[in-house]
Amino acid sequence: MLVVLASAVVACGDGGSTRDAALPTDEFDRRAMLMHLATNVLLPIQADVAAKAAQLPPAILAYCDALDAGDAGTTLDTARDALGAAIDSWQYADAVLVGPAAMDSNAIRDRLYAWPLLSPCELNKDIASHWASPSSYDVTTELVSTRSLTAIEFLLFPPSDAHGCLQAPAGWDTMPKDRARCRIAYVIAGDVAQQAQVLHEAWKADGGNYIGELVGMSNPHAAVNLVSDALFYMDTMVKDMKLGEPAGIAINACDAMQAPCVLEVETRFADRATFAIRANLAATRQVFTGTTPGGDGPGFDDFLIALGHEDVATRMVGSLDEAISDAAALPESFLSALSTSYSQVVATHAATKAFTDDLKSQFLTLLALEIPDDVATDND
Amino acid sequence: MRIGERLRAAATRPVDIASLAAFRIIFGTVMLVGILRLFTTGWISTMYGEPTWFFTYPGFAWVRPWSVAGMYVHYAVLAALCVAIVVGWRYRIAIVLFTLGFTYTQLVDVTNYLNHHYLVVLLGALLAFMPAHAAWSLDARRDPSIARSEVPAWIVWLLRFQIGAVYVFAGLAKAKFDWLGSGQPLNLWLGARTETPIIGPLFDEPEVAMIMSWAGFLFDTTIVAWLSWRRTRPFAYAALIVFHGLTGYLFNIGMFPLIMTSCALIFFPPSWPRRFVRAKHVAIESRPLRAPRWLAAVIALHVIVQIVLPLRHLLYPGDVLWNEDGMRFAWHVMIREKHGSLMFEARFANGKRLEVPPHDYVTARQEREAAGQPDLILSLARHIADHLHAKGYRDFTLHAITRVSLNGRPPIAMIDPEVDLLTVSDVGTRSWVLPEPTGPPPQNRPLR
Repeated sequence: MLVVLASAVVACGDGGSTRDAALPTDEFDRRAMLMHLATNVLLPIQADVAAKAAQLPPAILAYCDALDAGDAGTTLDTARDALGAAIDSWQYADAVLVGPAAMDSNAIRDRLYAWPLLSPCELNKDIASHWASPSSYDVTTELVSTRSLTAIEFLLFPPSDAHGCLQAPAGWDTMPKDRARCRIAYVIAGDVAQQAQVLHEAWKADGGNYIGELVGMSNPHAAVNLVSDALFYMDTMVKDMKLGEPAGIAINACDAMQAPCVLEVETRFADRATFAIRANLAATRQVFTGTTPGGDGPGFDDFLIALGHEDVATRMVGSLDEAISDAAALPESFLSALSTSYSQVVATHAATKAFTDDLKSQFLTLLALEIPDDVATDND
Repeated sequence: MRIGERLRAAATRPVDIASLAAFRIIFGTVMLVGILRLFTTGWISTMYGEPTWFFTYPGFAWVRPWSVAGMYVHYAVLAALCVAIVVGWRYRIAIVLFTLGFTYTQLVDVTNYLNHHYLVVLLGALLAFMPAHAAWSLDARRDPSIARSEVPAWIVWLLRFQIGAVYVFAGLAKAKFDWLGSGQPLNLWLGARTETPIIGPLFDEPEVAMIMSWAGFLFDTTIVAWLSWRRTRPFAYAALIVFHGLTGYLFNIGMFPLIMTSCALIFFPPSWPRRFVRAKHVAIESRPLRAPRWLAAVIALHVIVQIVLPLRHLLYPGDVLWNEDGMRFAWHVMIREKHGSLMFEARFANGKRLEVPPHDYVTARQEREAAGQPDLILSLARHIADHLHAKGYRDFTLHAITRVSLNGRPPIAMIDPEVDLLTVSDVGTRSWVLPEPTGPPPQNRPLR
C-alpha cells in the first residue's frame, strides 16, 4: 500500500530541484510574500514609529521648559501634535503586530502603547512621587498601565485634576500639576522613543535582522502564519473594542445598548480614535494585499488567488475597502461621530465584521492557517 | 460443538501472558512520556490556567479543575502512577487511580477532547480489570501467588477489539464525499506542508491529496485484517509504522501515532515479547481465570457500546461533520477542517440588541473549538446568559451569529440566528442547527 502511495506520489510530481529551476517568474512564493511584506510594509512602519517617537521627547521637553518659565505659549499644542503623530504612526504598527513587538506577550508593544490599559490613580501617584523625587522614579519598572503613549496622552490631555484614588497621593494638592505631569511625560516619552528605536533596530538587516529571521524560517508556512496572526487585530481590537464597544453595539463598560459609551473610546482624551481606525484599516489592507504607496507586491490576496480562490480574495478586499471608505467618511472627532454620525460608525463596524467573518473562517481554512494566541496543542 | 461453545472454548483457551504484560509496560511508558510532554510544553497552564470558564460534559458540570499548581501536582501524581504501572507495583490501585485521574483531566473541559485521550481512558479502564501485573511486575515478585504464565485468550481479544475499533471506525468515518471524492481536507492541509523534505513539493498536487485520502481510508478500514492474518502481519505492522510516522510528522496529532504504533503490537501472537526477553517461559501453575458473570456482562456491554457509539450519528439527521451530533467518542479522527466566526447577540424586549463577543469569556483556543461545535455554542450561550443576568440584564433572548466554513467551503450560518438558545434543550434533534453546506468543497490548485 505504501509502495503504491509512494510511487503514486512520485508519479504525480516531477521532482524537486529540477522543478524549482523551471518555476515561472510569476509563481506565488511564500518567502517572496514574506520578504515583500517585511521589507516594504512592516519595516517602513517600524521606521516611521521610531522617527515619530523620537520627536516626542524634545517636543514635551520644550513644553515643560516653557511651563517652568511661566508661559507655555504654543508648546503644548506642539507637544500634543507630536503625540498625535506618534500615536497615529503606532496605529499602523499595532494593526499588523508581527515579530519583536509581539514577543513575550506583547512586551514591547505594551511599553509603546498599552491601550486599553491605563490606571489613572497609579499614574497620578507616579506623577506625585516623580515630582517629589525624580531620581527615585524608574520608568522601566513601572506597570504598563502607567506608561507608554497611552499614559502620555492622559498626561497631556488631563481630563481633570482629580487623582482618582481613595486617598490623595502625597503632595498632590500642593504640587503644580501641569508641570509635574509634563516632567513625567517627558521621562515616559524618552522610554517610548527608546523602545521604538529598539524595535526598529530589531527589524533592520544590520540590527536584529528580524526580516531575515522571518523570511528564513525553515517552515515558511509557519512564518506566514505569524503574519496572518496580526490580521486578527481587526477582529478583537478594531471591530469589537474600537467600534463595537464605544458604539454600544457590543457589550461595554457603560452597559449602553445601541448608544455611545465614551468610556470605551480609544484615545478619548486626545480624541484620535477616527485616525486610529483609519490607520489600522490602511495597514491591514497593505499587509493583506501587499499593495503599498510604492507599488504592489505579493500579499494574502495573491496567496488566495494563486490557490484558485479569487472569489474569496475579492470579497475580502471588497469588505476591507468598504470599511476603509466608511471610516474615511467618519468625522475626525470620533467622540462627535458617535453622536452625529452614529450610522456611519455602525456601517464601519458592519464592513469590518464582513472582513473578519471571512478571516476567521474560509481564509484560515483555505490557507491552512491557525488562529493567533492558539498554542499548538495536539489535534485529532 | 456449537458455534457458541467453540467460541467460548477459544476465548477461554490459555495463552501466553507476555503480550498482556508487555502491553501494561508499554501503556505505562507511553502515558509517562505523554505526561512529561505536557510538563515540557507548558500546556497544563494553557489548558487549565488560562481559561476562566470551562466547557463541561452534560452531567459533569460539577467537575472543576484544581488551581494551576494543583493541576501540575495532579499530573505529577499521574506520572508517578505511570511508573507504578510500568514496574507493576500496586498495579490494581495504580491503574484505577491513573484512569480516574486521567478521566478527570478530560472532564474538566470538553475543548481538550482528543480521540486518543478517549482511547487512553478506555484502555485504562480495560486494564483495570485485567491481570496485567501477573508477570514481569514487582507485584508478582513480591507475591508469587498472583503470578501467572497464561491468561485466557479473551483478554487479549478484548484489547485487540479496542484498538481495532479505532482503526475500523476511523476508516468508516472517512467514507464521505469530501474525503474520498474531493481529497478534502487533506488537499488543504498538505498545501501547508510543501516544505517537507523530499516529498513536500508533491503536496501541492490535488492528486496526491486524493491518493493519500484513499490510502488513509483503505489503511484504516483494512489494517486490522492485515494485522490479524499471520502472513501479512509483519508487512502490515511495517506499513502501520510508516503511516503513523508520516501522519505524526505532517500533522499536530501529538501522542496518537506513538499510542497506536505501540498498542498495535497486541495483534502479534501473545508470546511475541519473549523474542526480546532472555528469560525462558516458565509455566506457572495457577488457578484458571474465569470472568465472573457480572464481569462478562460488563464486557459484553462495553463491546456493544463501542460498536454502537461510533455509529450513532447515522441515526441523527444531517452531516455529522457539520452538526457534530455524534462526533465525539466515535473515532472521527482528523476528517474535517472547520473554522468559523461566532458572536452572540442578546435581543431585548425593548427591541435593542447587544453583541457579546465570545472572547470576553473564553480563550482563543476555546473559542476556536466552540465556533464549529453547536453543543459548545449552546453551553457558552447559557454561561453568557448567566453572566448577563448577574450584571442586571433582563428580558432578553440570546442568539448565535455564526459563519462557518467546512473543508474550505464558503462560510455559512451554522446556528439558526432566530433561535433563542436559552430555550434549546440538550437532548433531541438539533433543529436549531441549520443544514450543512451543499456542493463539493473547493480545491486548492498547485502553487507551482
